[in-house]
Amino acid sequence: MKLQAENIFFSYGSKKILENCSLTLSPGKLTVITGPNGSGKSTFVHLLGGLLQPGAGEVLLDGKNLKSFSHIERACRIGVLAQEKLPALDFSVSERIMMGRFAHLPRLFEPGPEDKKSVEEVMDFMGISSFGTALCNQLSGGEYQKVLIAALLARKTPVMLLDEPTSALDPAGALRCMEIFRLLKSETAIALVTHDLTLAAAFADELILVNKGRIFAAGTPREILTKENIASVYGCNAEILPSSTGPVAVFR
Amino acid sequence: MIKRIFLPLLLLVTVFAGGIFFGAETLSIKEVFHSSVAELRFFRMLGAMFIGGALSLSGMVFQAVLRNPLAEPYTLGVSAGAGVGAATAFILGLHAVSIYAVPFTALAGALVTLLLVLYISRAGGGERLLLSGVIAGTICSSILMFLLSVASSDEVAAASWWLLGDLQSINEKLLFPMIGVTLAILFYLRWSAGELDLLALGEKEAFFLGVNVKKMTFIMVLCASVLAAVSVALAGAVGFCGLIVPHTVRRLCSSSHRRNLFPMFIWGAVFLMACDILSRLVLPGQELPVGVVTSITGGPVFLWILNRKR
Repeated sequence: MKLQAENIFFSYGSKKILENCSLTLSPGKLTVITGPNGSGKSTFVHLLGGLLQPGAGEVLLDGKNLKSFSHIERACRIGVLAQEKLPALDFSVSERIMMGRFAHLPRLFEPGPEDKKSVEEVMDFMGISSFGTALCNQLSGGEYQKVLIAALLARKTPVMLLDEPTSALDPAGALRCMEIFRLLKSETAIALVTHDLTLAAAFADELILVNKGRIFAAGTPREILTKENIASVYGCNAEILPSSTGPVAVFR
Repeated sequence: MIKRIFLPLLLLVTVFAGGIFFGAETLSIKEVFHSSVAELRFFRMLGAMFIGGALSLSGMVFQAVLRNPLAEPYTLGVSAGAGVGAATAFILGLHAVSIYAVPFTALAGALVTLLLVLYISRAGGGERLLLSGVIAGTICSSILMFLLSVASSDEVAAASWWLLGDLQSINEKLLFPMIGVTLAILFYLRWSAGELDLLALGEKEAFFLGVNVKKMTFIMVLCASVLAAVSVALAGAVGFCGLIVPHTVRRLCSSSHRRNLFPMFIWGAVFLMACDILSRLVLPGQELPVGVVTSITGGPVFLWILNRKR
């Protein structure tokens, strides 16, 4: 399944947030979006996920405008991990993950064996089986982030959009997470937003650098992570060191 | 399933039966089947059962949709609006003209307030709805105080009893339509329990998981407000039930509305029926307004449960 943004524009009133942004997500390619705070990355994800409607341009899912899909049809195809606060109610970890399968669950009956199996699988996968019965509000920020990623994986959508999935995770957790996305990318179109340029360089097939609402540069990590691009976008100097996994930017 | 549904159901039947046997005078088994007192108590317990259940469901929905654990059935000003309607009926003497006057003016006051709140907050999300409700409630409370300040002492006494919550004067003819509305909403809420779970996560999260957020928020708020409005119209403003029962059931059972919806109704019913029995027994020869008992007993129980681990 392919998700495309074609020349999309978005503004809040007179304040322009995104201008002329295009992107194509398809299976086999892990796309990473990065850029300074307030550059429009999260808005881009919200537009791709259908939460916001572009002022101009369109978002296409397999060639059809995303607006033409019903809420459930869209949720079955596009999974989004947004920046989420802890829930106001005391849901348990397994209940929260099961909610990820909302579009698949029977309305009147308890979740079936397939749903329960999916939840158990992703909990194992994310290494959170030990606190399945704990309440989400008792978890640390990093643990809850793993729960949210598990809830997204349980949905098994062909397109996944993730807004800063590794921001609250420790280095081992972040690495594990990126490895999972690398495993999934052969059958899933994935785009994720991160500020971690080292992880981005190690795992991205396509790196998109967003600045002031525009796509400043897009290409492979080696093409994009240059001293010049970093100075232009972040306004600071960095040394680019080679490594076996990709270029590493050391900020000075 | 046994712990979640059957045990509370057994308790419900027991408390219901207890409500028929016990009161100002205790009835024998023979009297239960042949006395008019038993018949009156039967309808009173039936009213308590559905009002308790309705207020608990209403509080549960408000807490989920507004994502505020302190939200309750009267958060959107429904109670205060109903109070203005009822006080108007008492002051104009309409309560002496027809037994339907107070319930209907209360219902009208509640629904007018609700519609105004929904209209004012139509362009915004849950936060705007909550703020609009709180402000509408404050304005209605001021109008209510004004009405009570110009009323005679008899009118104030009659209105006060109603405002504290009163199951004595439940109108049987209005009870059955109320039961119908409550059951219809109960089954609709069970049908939409998955959406309610997701709305509790947040508007953005619910949208990405496949919920039509604006439509479902409107429907849920409407359902919860109608439950509160019909309860208030029938028995006055019974406080605390819609706040403490949802919290208690979540602690005892689950926060997932797929699992806790029927227990929520049953425990709400048990709570209000038990409070009603207490209101008849605490002071010999005298009854207390049930709202006083719900507050006095509910508060400490709520604090105890809050401090227990699930």
